[in-house]
Amino acid sequence: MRYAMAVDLSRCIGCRTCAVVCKNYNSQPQGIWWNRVFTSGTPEYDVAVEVGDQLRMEFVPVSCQHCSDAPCETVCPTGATYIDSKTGTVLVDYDRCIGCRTCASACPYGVRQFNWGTPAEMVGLDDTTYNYGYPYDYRDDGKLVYTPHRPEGVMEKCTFCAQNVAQGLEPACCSACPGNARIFGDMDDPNSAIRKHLEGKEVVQLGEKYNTHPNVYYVVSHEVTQVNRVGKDGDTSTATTEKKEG
Amino acid sequence: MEKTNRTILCVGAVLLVVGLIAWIIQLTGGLIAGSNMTNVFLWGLMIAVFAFLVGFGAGSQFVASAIFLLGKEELKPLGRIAAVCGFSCVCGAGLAIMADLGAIRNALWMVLGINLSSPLAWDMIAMVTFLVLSFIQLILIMRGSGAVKVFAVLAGLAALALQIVEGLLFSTQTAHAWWATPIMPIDFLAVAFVSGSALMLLVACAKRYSDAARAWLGRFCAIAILVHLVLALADLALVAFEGTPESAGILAAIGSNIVLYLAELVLPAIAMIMLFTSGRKGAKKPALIAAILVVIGIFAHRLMLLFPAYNAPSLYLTLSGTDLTTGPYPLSTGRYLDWNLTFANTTPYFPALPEWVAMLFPIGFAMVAVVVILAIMKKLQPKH
Repeated sequence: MRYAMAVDLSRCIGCRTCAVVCKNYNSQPQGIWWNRVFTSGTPEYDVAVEVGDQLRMEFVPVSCQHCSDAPCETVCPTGATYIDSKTGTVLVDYDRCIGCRTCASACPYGVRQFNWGTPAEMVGLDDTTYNYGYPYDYRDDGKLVYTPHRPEGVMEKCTFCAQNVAQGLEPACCSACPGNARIFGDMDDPNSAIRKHLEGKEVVQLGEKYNTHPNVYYVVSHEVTQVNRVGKDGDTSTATTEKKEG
Repeated sequence: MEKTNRTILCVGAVLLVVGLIAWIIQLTGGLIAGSNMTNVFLWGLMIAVFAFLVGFGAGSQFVASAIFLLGKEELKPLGRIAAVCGFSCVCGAGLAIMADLGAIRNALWMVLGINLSSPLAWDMIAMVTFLVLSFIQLILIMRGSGAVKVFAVLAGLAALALQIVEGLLFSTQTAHAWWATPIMPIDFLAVAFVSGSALMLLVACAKRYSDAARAWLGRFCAIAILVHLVLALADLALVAFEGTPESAGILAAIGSNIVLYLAELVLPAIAMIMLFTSGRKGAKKPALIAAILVVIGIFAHRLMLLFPAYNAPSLYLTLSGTDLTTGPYPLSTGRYLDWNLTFANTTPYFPALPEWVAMLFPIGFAMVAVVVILAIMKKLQPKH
């Protein structure tokens, strides 16, 4: 079995629901985001990029790529980061992590999140605590890979919602995506939803030059393009929008 | 105890205690309160100090091995100090890396669950091997045993391996183009030669060794600086001609830290010129100035290991279905409130006050260890 995720860029509307639901569902402390979405080609959000005479706006969600040759696993000195032999998912055992941060340094995708310390107290809530997220610990063969009571000074990252997947459920980002842009499943099963979705589609993977063999596949988008309404002469009278099928 | 040793012991003890307090503050308050590192800038001042100390440790051992193997009788007392400095500095480096851990409570897993494919595990093995061999060497030196030469070779080889592994710890990280170069392990060796000979030059100045001794160390140091500078400039040239977005990021990060980068190159270069010219006969003043310049330059070099690596983004996307490589993809920094930078490609790094103070802990430890070990060796030395 090899769990993987497809992100269909022609379906992603850039709403960032996946990032927010991931943060909430996995009880991520302040400042920590396992999942992030940016507009390809611009430092700002929601800004189109000029390609030839067209404007394109593409959102690329990035979280752990669950690489089959994960540099984070190779460099981890204690084996806290490991690839689950049953699912191929890259997980971190919080009880083993020494917080050396070598894994994050080795990851070319910048998806690993170090828990730098005790989160700030909630303002105006006295001694009460705002609890959120999946409420129970989840252990994979005894290894603590999810807990709402997050230990500080250790590394954390996307687990493909291991606590869900163990119960036959989808990762939270998949079930929450309003555009069904994320498809999860077993790449070794020809009848899985992900295999069926990827069939015949043009796919790219991130950071191929690093030879990490990611298990996140991005379906290429050719879909929405807009003729650049501000031409070189600044004339906006010929503004048109067209739709192309990929 | 000599006055110089007493001074080093007192200063070292103060640094050790003050640094220990700052480290405990970091430990209890979390690195979020006690450091300015982020998920972009993952290793900070303590790792620079680790690399700094391990270089001085291995380099001191190289000097010690050279003295014992070449049979330089007049330099044997300096060889003894060099061997002690080698052991103490590597102990201090080990302490620095332990102090930098986020979850030292899980440190036992470094032994129980060691992952032998990890360069950090190789580092731990190389460090422990060096410390064991160096310790045996110290006992043999104390007893005046003829087997010192054998262990001078073994400890020297262990120091060599340690520096190569340190270099590999960085150069195997392909996500950082600034590190991912085969030059890195070789330069780590060159820097160790520079560091060790500069430290012993300082000792030779403080302990009133002969001009000949200082001249010998000066030549040793100057040649090592020359090799280091050639390697550093070759590295820069390779980056400059690479022409990738990653290399452009590195050059931009070097530009943003140009003072530090110039300090790394210019100060040792001045020291080298001094040692080849006015200091070539071992005069005390140029030797002392050169050694101090080298120590500052090597500290800048260790810091500059970090800035161009962490402030040059590694993930650039291609707009799907096109060949257009877009800008770097931002990271979640892990910081909030005071930072206003939840997501960023680069984050400024200037160490927080607890980081500056905590770095004194391993340095102070190494200073105290040198004096205490020398005193123990003197006391236990067989009377002939």
